[in-house]
Amino acid sequence: MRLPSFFGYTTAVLMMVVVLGTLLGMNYFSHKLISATGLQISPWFSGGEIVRTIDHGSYKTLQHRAVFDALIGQRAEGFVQIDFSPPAALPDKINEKIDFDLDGKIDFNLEYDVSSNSAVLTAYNPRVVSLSGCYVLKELRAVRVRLKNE
Amino acid sequence: MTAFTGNLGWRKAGLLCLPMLIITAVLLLYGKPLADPGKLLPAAITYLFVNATFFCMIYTGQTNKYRSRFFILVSLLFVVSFIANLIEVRGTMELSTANMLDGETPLCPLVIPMLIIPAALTNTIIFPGSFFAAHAGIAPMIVLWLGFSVAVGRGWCSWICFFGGMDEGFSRLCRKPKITDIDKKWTALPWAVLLGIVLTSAVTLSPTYCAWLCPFKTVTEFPAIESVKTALQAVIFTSLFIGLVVVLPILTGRRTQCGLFCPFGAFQSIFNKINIFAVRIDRAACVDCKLCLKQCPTFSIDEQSLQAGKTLLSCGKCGKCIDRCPRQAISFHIKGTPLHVNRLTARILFLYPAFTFAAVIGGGCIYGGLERIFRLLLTGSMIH
Repeated sequence: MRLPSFFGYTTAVLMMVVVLGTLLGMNYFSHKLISATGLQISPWFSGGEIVRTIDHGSYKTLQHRAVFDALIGQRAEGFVQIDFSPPAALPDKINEKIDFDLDGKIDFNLEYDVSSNSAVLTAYNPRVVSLSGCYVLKELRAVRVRLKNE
Repeated sequence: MTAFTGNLGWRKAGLLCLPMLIITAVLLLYGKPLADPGKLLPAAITYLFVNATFFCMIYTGQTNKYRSRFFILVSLLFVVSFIANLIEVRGTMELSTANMLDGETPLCPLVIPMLIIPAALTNTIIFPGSFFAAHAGIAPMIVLWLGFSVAVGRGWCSWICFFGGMDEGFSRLCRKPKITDIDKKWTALPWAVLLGIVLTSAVTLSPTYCAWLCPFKTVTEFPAIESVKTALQAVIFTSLFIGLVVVLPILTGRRTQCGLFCPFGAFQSIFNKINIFAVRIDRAACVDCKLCLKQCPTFSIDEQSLQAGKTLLSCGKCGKCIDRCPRQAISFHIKGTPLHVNRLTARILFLYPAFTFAAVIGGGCIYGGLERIFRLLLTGSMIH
């Protein structure tokens, strides 16, 4: 048998090994893929990393980092996501002052009505644009506020 | 119709199918008998159907005839099980912003080309799903896609893609094509769409094909219609589905969505370049009847490729040209080996990886759909 033929047939047989390895080892390879690459869900969907937690006793306010991420550099507009959790322990109305850029100054005030899932935004910082949306998620309530980049 | 390997005989075909019986028992049924009688019957039917399909392929030597039936059934039952699952989990086929923020979107393989540039440059996945969700998590879907692409290249489009089966199903409704003269230039469109969606997704950091162009949103999940933008998206999805997946396949007898629009298909073509399996035409036996050229579902044979004895890069390895060739001049081929020698070996070595994936993924869709149908018949509802 010629060498190219030998390699051809060997590779063809190996493809079956690839298939079985993929199907049987899918769980293992999936975890390896994520741990080895350190891939994360885009902050435009996940909200970004949580940078501050305010404990109110029965419930917590979770403040995500401001998201302006672009493919390269930053975008002119972005958002900050504020979560309230757990949903069952939330009071009817929540009033929270947020310092989204962590400079020690309050940037906006959120009045969140839990039962109607609506919010009123009062901006103190000109970079705070408007309310983006209020969302009922599985394990928390989330509010996104539109921001301008510096 | 003729088959190049001819009838193998029951005993030889049975022996060649024995490994598939074992593989599917392990991978499809997890090697365990099912305790729930409501699941036992659909599982048994799936197992028998999958293996009967493979046996028919091996025994008769015809690939496309049985692959196509399997492929179309997978597609139909995928829609049944997917929609029933959505209704069960969310109560609707609509995908709200809250569902996206919750990471509840199952990863569709069609998204994968759009993920690459953002993943490389920002180390993030621009998809509103979860890495390890119970249903079509991002990480397992990427692993599956990678494994299959390495093993059979663009064979994905003919053996595993549950959307391709819809296109194929409608194309088979065509008895005599009303449109036969399709300009070759149209085959460049999938590449243009691919380039467009890859670049726009990278710039916007969101999968633009899913948001604006995917015809299959019509029969799976679609963004909740909450604004003019989402209403427009719904109109585009539905129009593309009706045009590319229903009407044009019926008029042309070809898979127009797969061959003339799908950017993922174009992307998968790249893997044909590195894949060990190919389809080759024996020029010595070919009488230039051009039946293969006229009937290729994905427009993967043209005059030049026919003269060169090859299919184009876009070949989905469905086997239709092989089954239809009156001179048995076309065959599956292993690169590096002598042309048209050991055809049976090349065919079996291709069919095993291709059909194993099809059996496990497609078999899962068949089982899921049958289970929902049995539930409907027994309880009056598809929902748990």
